[in-house]
Amino acid sequence: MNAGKVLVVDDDASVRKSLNRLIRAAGYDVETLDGAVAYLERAVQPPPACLVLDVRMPGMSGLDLLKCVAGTPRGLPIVFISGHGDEDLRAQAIDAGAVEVLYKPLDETTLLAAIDQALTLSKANL
Amino acid sequence: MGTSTDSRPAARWLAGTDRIRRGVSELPALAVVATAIAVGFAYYAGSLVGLALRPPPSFSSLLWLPNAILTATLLLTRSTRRWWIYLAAALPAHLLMLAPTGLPLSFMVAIFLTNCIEALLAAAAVRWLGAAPIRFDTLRHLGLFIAVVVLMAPFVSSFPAAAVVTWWRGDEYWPLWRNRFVSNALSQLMLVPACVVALRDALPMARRASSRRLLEGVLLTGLTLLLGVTVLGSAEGGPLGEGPGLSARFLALLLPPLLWTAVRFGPASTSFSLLSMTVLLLWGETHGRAFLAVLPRQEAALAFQTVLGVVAVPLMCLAALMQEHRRAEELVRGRLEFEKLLSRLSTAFVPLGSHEMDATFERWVARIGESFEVDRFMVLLHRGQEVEIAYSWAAPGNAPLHPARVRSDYPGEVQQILQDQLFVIAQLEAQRAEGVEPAWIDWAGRSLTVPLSARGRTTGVVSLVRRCDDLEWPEELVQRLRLVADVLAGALDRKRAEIEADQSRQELAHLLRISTLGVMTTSLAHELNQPLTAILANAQAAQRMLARTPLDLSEIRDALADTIEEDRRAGEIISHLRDMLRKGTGEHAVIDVRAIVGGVARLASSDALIRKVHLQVSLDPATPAMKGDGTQIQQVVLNLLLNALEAAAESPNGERVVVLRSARAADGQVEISVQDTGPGVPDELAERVFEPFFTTRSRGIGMGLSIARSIVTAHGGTIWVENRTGGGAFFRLHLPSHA
Repeated sequence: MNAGKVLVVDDDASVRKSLNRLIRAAGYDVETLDGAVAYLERAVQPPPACLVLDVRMPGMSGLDLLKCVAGTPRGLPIVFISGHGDEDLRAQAIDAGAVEVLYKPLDETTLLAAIDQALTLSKANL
Repeated sequence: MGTSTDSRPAARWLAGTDRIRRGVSELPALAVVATAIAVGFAYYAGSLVGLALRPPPSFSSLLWLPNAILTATLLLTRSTRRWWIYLAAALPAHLLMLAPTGLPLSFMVAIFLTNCIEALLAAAAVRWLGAAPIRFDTLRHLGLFIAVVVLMAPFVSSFPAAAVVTWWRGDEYWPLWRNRFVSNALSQLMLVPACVVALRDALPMARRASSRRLLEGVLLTGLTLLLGVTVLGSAEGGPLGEGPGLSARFLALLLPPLLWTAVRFGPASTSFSLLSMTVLLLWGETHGRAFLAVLPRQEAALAFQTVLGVVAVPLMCLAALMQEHRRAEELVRGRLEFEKLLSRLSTAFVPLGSHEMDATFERWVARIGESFEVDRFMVLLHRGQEVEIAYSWAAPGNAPLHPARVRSDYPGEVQQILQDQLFVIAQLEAQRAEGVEPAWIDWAGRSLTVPLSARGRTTGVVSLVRRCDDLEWPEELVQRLRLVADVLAGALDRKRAEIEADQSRQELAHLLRISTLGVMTTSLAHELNQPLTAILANAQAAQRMLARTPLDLSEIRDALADTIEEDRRAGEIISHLRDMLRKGTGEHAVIDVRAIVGGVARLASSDALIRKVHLQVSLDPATPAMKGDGTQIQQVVLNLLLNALEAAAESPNGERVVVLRSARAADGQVEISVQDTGPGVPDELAERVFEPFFTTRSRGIGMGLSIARSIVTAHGGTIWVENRTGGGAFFRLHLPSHA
């Protein structure tokens, strides 16, 4: 399956590592970054097709990043993952164009479905 | 002859706060018989000495000891019923002693009766004058003794005695009377104090005497005997041609040791020295080693007796005066020492927290026991329905007291304690005889017990125990024990109040911890979700890997290892939470401050994240350890940290910083500080923020900082707030370090 690269951005190393492992086991190409700032500062090669982005991170939050890159070439389809269920946050994220907002701990099927959806969207945008 | 008796039944406990009565057991019948036999023997021996000191032509002895022995016996016997027994016991000795003389029985009995009259007169008069038990330690006591026992009794009893002899032998009445009076007065003067003190007080006195004093006594006795023998030797060879001059000079040799005794050892020892010398010299006088050879024998003897009397009375008065003076000095010194002890005791507990008081109590119980010179000192406290030995001290050589409960053994006495009454435990041996085995005092002793009362409540007693049957607890000692008890009761009361306050503080702190953790639910859920997410993702990945062929076992192993690792991380968070939710025990242990502060930082890290606050944690390895309640210290730090995170969140995003530090303060104490970039605390509120129910926020009840301060204070530390120069609050706390 070569649907494009998934980029996981989360400040928690163990979450990063485990999601990397899971998504890769599901057959996707995966790379991880430890924060929003890193995403902005570093060019990932080959460029990712979608983002799995943690909402709460030190420095710049996931939502801030979404607002920052919306409409730019870096503005990719985003699946948000969050540590706790906040409906306001969900509404904000969806409004800002997020593909899906998922709550930790993540259900594998839902996560992979959302990633699939994001990758499809990414392809459509091309 | 030693222990006096009382008609009161044994093991009756004695009440009364101002007057202490003493319960003295009945002397067992065997002891009475033994005493009676001893009296008989003493009488016989005294008679032999008396007869040996009798100039041949005279019927009167120069020093008639039996009457003085009878007098001493009666003076030492409290129960008057026993007087008759002991007097009767002397009759066989009297008859036995006179039997070889071939005198008629009626005459011997008549003489014996006059002897008894003398002893009875003396003892009854002493009792009638309220001077029993007789003492010789002050000039007043000695004066009374001389007037009643030395002068009055021989004076009166010599009339019938002389009459009996005159009637029987036809001797001249007045010389007989005079000789009997003088020899009896002299023997009363010299024998009674020595005898009474030796039998009644010598043991306790010797027990208390220092080794230096004992040595001095031995030296003095040796010197006295040596001089006595030397003087006697100087008179050897019969009547001296040169007259009394030489011997009188030698006699003067005897004065220094006598003076020494009088000045240093009191009237009783003086009387004993005098008695020894007198016996020695009179024996010389009646056995041809005359000192006053120029006079006719009878006159010489009388002159000698008079000289002795004239020397003895002032010497004994001097001894009494010196003893009085010494006693007054000791009393003043004792009082001063006690005042010092009391004032130190009064301040000893002031700076202490309740958890430090136990060790101090133990220390002071020992100091008090030593100062009172008793064998045991203990503090018994009323706990629920029981009375327990809370603190106790035993002088070296005494077995430690096992902390038995005493209420069941002594219900009546405990009732008295609780009714704020004083009681004195008398002869415990007597109770043993009755089949009562005292569980908490496992040897014979005498205890003095006073209640511990504070704020109108009696919470227990303090008890002094003396192994030796010293008979008296002086009133002054009772007063001192009362004062000590008052101070101890105050300290115990404060300890109880502090423990109660500590308990309520712990309960409040616990409630606040629960409420704090309630507030932290969101961040705690976030904190716990991270490992749970990783665990689930790893497990699912492993599942997928297992479905693949070929199996990549090393990948699967890694995933499982990470799962375990993350599970451990989640467990740690739960364990921290459990610590925080646990009810404090108040137990103080050595705390690793860095571990506590680090743990709190982890617990609050999600809160920082949610509030978009950058949390900097700096744990200086030089941070000293401290002693305290870890949960409470954790709570204080968490409280300060959550407040700081909340305050920092009020600043614009990107400028939200909280710095949590642990370090060693300049004075070596533990310093924990929390700085934030929030709005800071206005100077006028810097103290008020620590008041209960003071809050500037909509949520919270304003108890956090107040509890924090009370916890820190209870740990002997301080907490205060400053404002950072760049804005924001700077909460600092200093806690005593544990070496």
